[in-house]
Amino acid sequence: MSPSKIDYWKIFHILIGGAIYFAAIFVLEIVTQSTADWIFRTLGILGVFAFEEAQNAYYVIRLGVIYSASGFFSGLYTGYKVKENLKLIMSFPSLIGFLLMLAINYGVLLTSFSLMRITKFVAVPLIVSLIGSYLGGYTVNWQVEEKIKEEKISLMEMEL
Amino acid sequence: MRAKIFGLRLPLAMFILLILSFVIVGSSIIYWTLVCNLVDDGNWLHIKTDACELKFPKKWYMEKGSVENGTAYIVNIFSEDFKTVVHLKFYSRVGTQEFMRKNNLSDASLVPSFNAQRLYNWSLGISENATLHFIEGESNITSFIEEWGKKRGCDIHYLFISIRDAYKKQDTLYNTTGLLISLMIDQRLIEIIFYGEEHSWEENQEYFKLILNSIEVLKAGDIFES
Repeated sequence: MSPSKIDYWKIFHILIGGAIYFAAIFVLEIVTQSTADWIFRTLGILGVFAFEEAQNAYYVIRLGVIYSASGFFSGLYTGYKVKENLKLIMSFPSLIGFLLMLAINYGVLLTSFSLMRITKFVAVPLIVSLIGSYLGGYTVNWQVEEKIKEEKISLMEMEL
Repeated sequence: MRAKIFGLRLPLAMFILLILSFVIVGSSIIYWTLVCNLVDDGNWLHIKTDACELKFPKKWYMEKGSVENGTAYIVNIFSEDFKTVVHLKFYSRVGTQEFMRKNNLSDASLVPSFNAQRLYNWSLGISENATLHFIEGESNITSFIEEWGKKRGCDIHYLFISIRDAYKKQDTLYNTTGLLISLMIDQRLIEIIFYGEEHSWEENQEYFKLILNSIEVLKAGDIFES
């Protein structure tokens, strides 16, 4: 394989990683939303979301369950397919997927453009996704040292 | 790159810990918020918004926020089955003037019929066979509202309506009932609408009374003012 061909495949796998991130966001969004809705309805505490503290707490849960997990899945794939230069490459799948998601949901940001909204809806989810992506990539490529098999040699046998 | 935690590769263990910490922190804050705001027998929540303080059942869902460029503040409280809503709208002085001028309303007594027409027009958009009926002297809730108005020391205007075939769901037509109230406090208009599917509306009347009784409108200095 020539070096240029390797690069081409790397880009392809990174793009697939981005697509995995994008798909995972949608699936996890639906699953998390319906699960949370079911839990809070069953517990009869839907009213708690009238409070800003509870809304922010739910945002924190979403960060962990949706964004870091999506980043992790995209990182798993990309890390499995691309083995070199992980420090640089692992940032792309989440970034691509996130930008794609942002392009579709840009209307949400346009409603009021403020530093607070940028931080809440862009910066923090992106950082969490990147962390997830790196963890996914390094999980696949984490080399674990094999334990050396211990052999028991009987002195009696040796004497024989 | 050799470390393992609980038999898991370090990055995987870190990822699991990351998710767990987000979920635990979030759930703890939700629990703490709930516990701090529970009132009465533990089935009601007390909330202070920018326009009022009130209590509502913890099973109900509430949304709130300022609208119309900050000249009005709305609070919507949905019943457990989401078939009935208690809608509160607090106008600032500027907002009140704008609203009255824009809709050619000379005083607050005309607001309930204006809102009834608006609700009916909205229903017509969903179901073209919807018909509007004004109900005279509706049952036990009338005396409660008049009593509530006397306690507040202000003139209360109210209207009962019923919309036949207001909306269609899974080939079944539903009727709705509404109670529309308007009052003025310190030259600021307050709209209260208790509206929903007729059976759900009947069932939630007692809740509505308790919510209404708990409302404390913030004084002019505390309220959002544009």
